Amino acid sequence: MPLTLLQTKFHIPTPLPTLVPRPRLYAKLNARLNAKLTLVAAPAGSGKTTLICDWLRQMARSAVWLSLDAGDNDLQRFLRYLIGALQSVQPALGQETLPLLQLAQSASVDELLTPLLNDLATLPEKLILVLDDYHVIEAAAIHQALSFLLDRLPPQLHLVITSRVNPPLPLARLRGRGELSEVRATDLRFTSEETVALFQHFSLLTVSPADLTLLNERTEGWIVGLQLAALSLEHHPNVAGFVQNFSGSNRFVLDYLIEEVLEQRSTTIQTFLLTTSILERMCGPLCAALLEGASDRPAHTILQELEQANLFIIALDDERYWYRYHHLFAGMLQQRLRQADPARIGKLHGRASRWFEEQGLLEEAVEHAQRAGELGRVIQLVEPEIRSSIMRGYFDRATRWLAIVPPTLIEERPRLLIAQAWLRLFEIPFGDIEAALSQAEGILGKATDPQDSDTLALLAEITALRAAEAGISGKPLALQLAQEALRLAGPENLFVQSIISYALASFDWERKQWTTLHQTFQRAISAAQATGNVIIAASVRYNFAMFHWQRGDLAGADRLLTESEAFTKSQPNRWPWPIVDSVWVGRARLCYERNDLDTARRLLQEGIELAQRRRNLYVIIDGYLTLAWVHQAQGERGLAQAALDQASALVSKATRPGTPQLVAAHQARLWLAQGEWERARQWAQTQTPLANAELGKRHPLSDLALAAIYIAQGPDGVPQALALLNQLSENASEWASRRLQIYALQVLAYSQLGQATEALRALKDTVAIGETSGYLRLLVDQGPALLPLLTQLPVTPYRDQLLAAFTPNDKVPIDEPSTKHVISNAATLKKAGNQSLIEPLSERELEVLRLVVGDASNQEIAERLVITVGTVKNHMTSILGKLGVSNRRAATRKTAELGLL
Amino acid sequence: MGTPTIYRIRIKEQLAALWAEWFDPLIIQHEANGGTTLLGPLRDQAELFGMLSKVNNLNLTLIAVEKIETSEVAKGHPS
Repeated sequence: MPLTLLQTKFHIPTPLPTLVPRPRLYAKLNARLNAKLTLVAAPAGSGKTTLICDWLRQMARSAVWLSLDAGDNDLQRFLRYLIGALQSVQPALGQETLPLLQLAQSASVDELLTPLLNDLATLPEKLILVLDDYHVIEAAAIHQALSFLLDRLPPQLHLVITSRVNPPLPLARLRGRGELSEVRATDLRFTSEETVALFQHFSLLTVSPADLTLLNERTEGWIVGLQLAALSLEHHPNVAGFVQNFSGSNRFVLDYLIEEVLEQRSTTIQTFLLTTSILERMCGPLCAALLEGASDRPAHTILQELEQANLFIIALDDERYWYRYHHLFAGMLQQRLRQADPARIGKLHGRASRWFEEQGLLEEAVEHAQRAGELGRVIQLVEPEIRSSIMRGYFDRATRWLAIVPPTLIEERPRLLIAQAWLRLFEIPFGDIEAALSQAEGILGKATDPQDSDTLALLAEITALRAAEAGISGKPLALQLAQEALRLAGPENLFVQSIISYALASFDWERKQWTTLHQTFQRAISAAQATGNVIIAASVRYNFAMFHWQRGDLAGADRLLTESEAFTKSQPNRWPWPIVDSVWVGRARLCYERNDLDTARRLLQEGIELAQRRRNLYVIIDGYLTLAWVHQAQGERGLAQAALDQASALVSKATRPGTPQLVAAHQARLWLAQGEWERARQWAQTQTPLANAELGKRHPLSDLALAAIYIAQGPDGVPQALALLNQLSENASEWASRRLQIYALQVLAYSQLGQATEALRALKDTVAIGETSGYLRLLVDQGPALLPLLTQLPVTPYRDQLLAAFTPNDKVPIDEPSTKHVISNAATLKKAGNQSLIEPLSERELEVLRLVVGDASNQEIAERLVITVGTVKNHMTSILGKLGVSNRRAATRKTAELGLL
Repeated sequence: MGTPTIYRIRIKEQLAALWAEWFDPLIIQHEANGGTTLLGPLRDQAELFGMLSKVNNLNLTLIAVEKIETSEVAKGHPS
């Protein structure tokens, strides 16, 4: 199977068996393998690539190759190819770096490359990495990245760079530290001995040593020159005459010799060479397409002939399917072609473009169309593909294509304008899309058939884009726009549907159509996946996950987040990233909920950092709020407040309604948890009481916080709290998370009033929700006062998890005014706990039990209680029976479990 | 747009006239010593370095690059 065009970049060029072995140079290269970098810097045609290829063939060490060309001048692409090349020896390499590449514009070199360096440090064997033709690289970002890599290069890796010029890397520094090995033009020049060897290879045995010396001098040992000379001499009848003329002439070597060499070939070959000179890479069928029958034998045969004849052609794979010319040779040929028949060049590029298009090789097709000057064709090729390129995350490709088309032409093409808008929407932070969209809309409005399905679809997409932007900004307008877009798109347009749910889902949750929303999500996900919209799919899943979370299905939320991560990782371009920050923060919330605090912390630190780079405001805020509670749970009060401060600082930038209240409510709860009563009270006072009718205007979390503060004030505050909670519960039937918090606060409220039965009922309701949904910390965070009450409950794994989540840090702060009340009411509830035995223990029995647990013997109990030992034994039988155990030890255990004492 | 600057680029080798188009807008002059001078207007540094890159890509040997004052051009330019 011949290699794909892409794979040829990674393939070590395989010249035919070495023309002239150069052991002195191999030795020189080997001697400095312990250095970081070998630089082979010499002009075109000096034999750099050939030397390295021949050298590698001698080596036992593994090597990885990357042939660079002018298109690789984009850092993202360069690194992608670099990693691609390295993955041929280590498939797992670069997994963390690849997704980061999308952040190449905003990330620092450190952030981008450290994961890659860490991967490289794990290479089990020594490896040589060759960057061939580095002189084509001009992008400062790439030089910077490479300098960074060189600085920290792990010892297993040796870098080889071939270039026509010294690359702008810190060579002096490397040289000074002995980390640089150099092979320069003078090293590469053929010595007389090597010239002799070359000419022997060409079977030019009749050239005298004197002539060889002359040739060597004339060409200054320049390999291409000598090779051309040898080629000329192969067919030259008068060797001495040739050498005489050649040496005597001043003409540029290349000029002189190329002409000679070309003229000696048959017309077929000449035509072939000139025609195919425009190609970067060529294979038989492609050449045939260009020649259009102007040759007497198959193109691939000619290619192999050229290779055999040493006519500066290099095989790019082992099957000898793909080839390229030596750059200098190609340049000369192109020059001649330009001289002979300039108009033909455009036509040839046109044919090449069509051939590549037939093969489905779009990038090359576009490039050749551009060189052919066929802008119309470029647009034709690019338009159908550009949107899906963007949706799959190939931003560099889309940007490059848009750069080829002149702006005046883009202005006339709605699809290209829309593509521009998409790119701007995915920028970090997103740019203005309205100008492009209005322009596109204007053009579509003038369409001859406004009901044309394509026109409608594009108009729908424009509206959907506007909805997406509004959604991301949290503007209520998003809803309206979304509905409009859906109307325009019709039910079959899955693409628009997937964008719409992206728009709608960024929005607030206060809507009633839960079932339809659920269905919309499902549809959106399958639509997005079906159309390959990685970004939309990931985004919708995340919002769907949060929806599940709110509705009490934590397992469902977890599943969706995991799917989201897995799906985006499976994409070839691995571009998950408008979303991964929110996936991590989402996961962190779930981990926190399960009391897996360390994992939550780790995920939050990474997720927040990523969100900050992307300036994803709402994810950052969510992240810091969650982090505050993680810190609080781990007993780090200062850090908790610091995290909350971070969230508060961002509130002014948030346009989404309800954000300031959300953050303030969390702050109030944190104050409560940390015992900052004054602050909490002051905040509560700023929350003016609202009439029933206005209940919906305040953020539900604010109401919950208020209720918690009223309760903390003692029995006096409870009625107000209960009133508030009752109102809240009317509106909360769908929101499991909210119901849980309401019930939990009701527990605390009732226990303040000493209403044990109500408290217990509320507690059971709370735990019921918690158990089915998996909420843990949500319950625990309602207050440590719940702890003693929870111990009254029957033993279940869930209850134990809850108890374990309360830590010593959850000691109820001493100066809480209501503490006394709560604790005394805990006694009431203990009684309530006793009620949970089928037959409760009598007071006397409880007294006996107390002593049993204290390890008193029957004799001691009898003495203490002033009863007979017989009576004690009777009591014991009754106690054991009621507890359902058979001995004292089990009784003690059960007593502890039930919290009877 | 500023006025272009005239540059003179001297190379060691003797270039055939057919390279004129390759080095456009510079013209090719053969020197008595066997070298070649490329002479002409370049708009900016980017164009200059682009031209030097072409010299490098052909493996020609660069001897000198000079900026020419207009008075000198009036004297020396063979058009």
